[in-house]
Amino acid sequence: MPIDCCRFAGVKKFEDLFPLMPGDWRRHFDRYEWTGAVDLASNHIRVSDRFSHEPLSVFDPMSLDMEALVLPHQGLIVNGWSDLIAAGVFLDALNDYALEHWASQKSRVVHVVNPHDPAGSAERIGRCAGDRRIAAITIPLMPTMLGSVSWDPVFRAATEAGLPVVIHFSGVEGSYAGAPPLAGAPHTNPLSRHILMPHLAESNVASMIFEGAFYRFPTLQVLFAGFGFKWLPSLLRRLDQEWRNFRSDMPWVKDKPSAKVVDHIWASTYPVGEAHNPEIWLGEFSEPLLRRVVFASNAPFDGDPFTQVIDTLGQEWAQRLADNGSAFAHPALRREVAA
Amino acid sequence: MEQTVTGARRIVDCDVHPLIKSVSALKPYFSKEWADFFVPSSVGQSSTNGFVFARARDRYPHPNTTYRLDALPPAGGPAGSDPAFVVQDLIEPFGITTALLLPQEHYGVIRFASSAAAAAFERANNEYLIDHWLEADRRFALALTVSEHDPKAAAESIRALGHRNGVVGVQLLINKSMLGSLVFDPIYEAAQEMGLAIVSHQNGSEGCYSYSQVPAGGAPRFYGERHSVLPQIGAANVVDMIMSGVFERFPELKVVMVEWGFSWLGSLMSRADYLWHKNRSAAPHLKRQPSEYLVEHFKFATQPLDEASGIREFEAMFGIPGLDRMLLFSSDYPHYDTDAPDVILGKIPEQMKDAVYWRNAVESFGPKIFRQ
Repeated sequence: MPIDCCRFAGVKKFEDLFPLMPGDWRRHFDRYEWTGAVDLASNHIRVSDRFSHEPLSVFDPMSLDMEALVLPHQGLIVNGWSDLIAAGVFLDALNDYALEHWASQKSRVVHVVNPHDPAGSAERIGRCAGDRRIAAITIPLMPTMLGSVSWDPVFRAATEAGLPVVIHFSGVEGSYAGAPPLAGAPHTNPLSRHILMPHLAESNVASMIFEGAFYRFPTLQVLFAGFGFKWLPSLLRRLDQEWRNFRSDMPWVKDKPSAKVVDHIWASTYPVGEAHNPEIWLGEFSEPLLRRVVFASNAPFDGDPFTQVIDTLGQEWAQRLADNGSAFAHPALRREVAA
Repeated sequence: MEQTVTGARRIVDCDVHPLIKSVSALKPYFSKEWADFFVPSSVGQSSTNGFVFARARDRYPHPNTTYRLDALPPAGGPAGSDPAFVVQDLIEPFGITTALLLPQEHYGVIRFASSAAAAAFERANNEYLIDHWLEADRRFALALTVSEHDPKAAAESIRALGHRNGVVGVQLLINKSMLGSLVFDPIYEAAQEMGLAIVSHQNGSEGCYSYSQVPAGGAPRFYGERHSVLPQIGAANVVDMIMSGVFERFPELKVVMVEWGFSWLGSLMSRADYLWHKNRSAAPHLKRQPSEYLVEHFKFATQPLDEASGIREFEAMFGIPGLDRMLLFSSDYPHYDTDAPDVILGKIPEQMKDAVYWRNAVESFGPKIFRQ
C-alpha cells in the first residue's frame, strides 16, 4: 500500500487558532489584515496572485484511503514574515491545532519548525519526540540554506527523535523580502516563477552535500516535496564533477556527492504531469536514485491521485513507490516511543 | 596541413576567451577623456588573468587558477592574449574551423557604475578585438559585447560594428535584469536587424554583488558549491525570455547559451510545457508551448559536458527531445575546465556529430561563421 508522503491541511479561519494562543497574542493577531489574509496563506502555489485556489475544504483525517503525512502548509509562509516573534506564536498554535484536528491512525502530522528560532525549535522537537502523531518536521525555506551549521540544532533534534525532514516551498520565495530568492532576478512573468521552483531544491541539496550536513547527521533524511524529481540526474552529475574538480577545497566531503544523495535525499512525484513519457528520461536514473522517489499527492491542491501517477509513470512504479514510501516514512511512523 | 586529431569535419568552437595584454592597448580606441579615465588608474594595468574582473575574488576565491598554465603564451601575457598562440595551441592541433571569441575583460564591465564608462569600454574593446584578432586569422569570429547599462548605446554599437567581417553575434552580459525584460528590446532589435545571434555566457558576477543575479535559495558558501548551481541562472533567463514573449516580438532572434550546461533541459522543458498547458492565460504572450520556442530559438554549448555514469545514462542525456537541434560544441579555452576538443567531440553520438560540430552553429550565426 503506498504512503502519501506529502499532502496538506489548513485552517479555514485563522480565528480557529485563537483559543490556542496566549491571551495577549490573541489580541495581537485579532486584526482584519491578518485574519483576512488567510486566503493568501492558504494559496499553496503562491508564486503570484495570478494563481489562486478555491477556498480550502476542511481536512477530515478519517477520510484518507492511505497513510499520509499531513503538512500544515499555512505554517510555511512565515518565511515571508517580518515579525519573527509573532511567527513563533503562530506556529505553536498551528502545530497544536494540527495535532488536535488532523492526526489519526492514517494521518500523521508534519511539525512546522520556526525557522527564525532554530534553538527554540529544537527544544520543541525534543518535547514532542514521543508523540506518535508526529511523523516528520518541516523547515520553511530561508536564505540561510540547509547545509549551514545554523540548522544543526534542528537536525540534531530531528535525528534524535527519529523524524525525517520534509521541505516544501511556501510560494513567497523570490517575492517577499527576507525569503529565499529564485534563480536570476525578479522575473517578468508569474509562470516563470512557478516553473523555476525546483531550483530551490537543487541549491539546498548542493548546500547540504557540500557543507557536510550528512557527516554531522549520518541518519538525517530529507524529502523535497512538490518540486518534482526529474531535475535530480542533471544536478547529481554537476555535483560529482564539481567535487572531482575541487575536492581539495572541500576536504570534509569524503564521498562522491551522488552517493550521499541516494543515502539521504528524497524527491516526490508531484507534479507527475511533468514526468510523462518516462521512456525518454528513465535512463538518466540509476536504480539507487529511483529508490529515492516517493509518492506525494499534493492534495487538496491540484493533487495527483495515486492512480494518475501510475497511469503516467507505468505500472512498475506502483510497487516501487509503495516500497520507497515505506522506506522513507515507516522508520518514523513505526518508531518506538516512551510511554 | 597535417591531419588533425578530430578528423575532417568542420568544427565551430563556440567558447574561446581572448584577453588583452595590457589596458594601454585600448588607448587608441578611447577618446582622450576616456583614455585618461581608464588607462592610468584602471583596476590593474595587466595581470595573468585580465585587467578587469567580474567575480568578487574575495567572496568566491577560485581554489586554483581560472586559466590553464599550459595556455600561457610563451611570449608573455595572460592566457588567451596572443592570437598566434591560440592558433598554435587550439585551432591547428584540433582542426577548429572557427573559434568564436567571447571576450572576457568585458565581464568586468558588470561592476561599472557609470553607463557612459561601460559603453566606452565595450566599444573600445570590441574595436580592438576586430583589429587585432579578426584581422589576425580568418578562423576567428567575434561576438561583440554589450551590457544593459545603456541599451540605446549598445544598439548603436551593434549597428556600427555588426557588419564587420567576422562579427557574428552579440555577447549580452547578464546583470540586473532578466533577459525577458523590455529593457533589452533595443539590443534585440539591433541584433535581429543585423542578423547577429545573442550570446549569453556566465560572467562571474553572479551571486557576488547586491545587484547581481543569483542562484536560487541563498548564497552558496564557497566556489565549488556556487559553481554547481550557476546553471540555474542560465535556465531562469531562458524561461524568462520565452514567457515574456521576446520571440513573439523578435521572431528571427537566435540565442546561444554558453557554459550554462544543457542536461537540465529535459526536466525544464517538460515542466514548462506542463505548467503552461495548465495555466495558459498566465503567459498571454505565448502562442505555442514553451519547448517549441526553446528548440527554435536557443542553442546550448557543450562545455562542461556532463559525465554520465554509463552508456544508458549517456544515451538518455543525449535523448532530450530536440537536443540535436540545440547543441553546439564549445571548449572554454583557455580556462581551467577546458573541454579538450578531441575528447568531447569523440563522445558526441554519431548521428548528432554534424549538427554539434558545425550545422547548429550555422543555424545560429549564419554562413558568415565560416569566413573566406
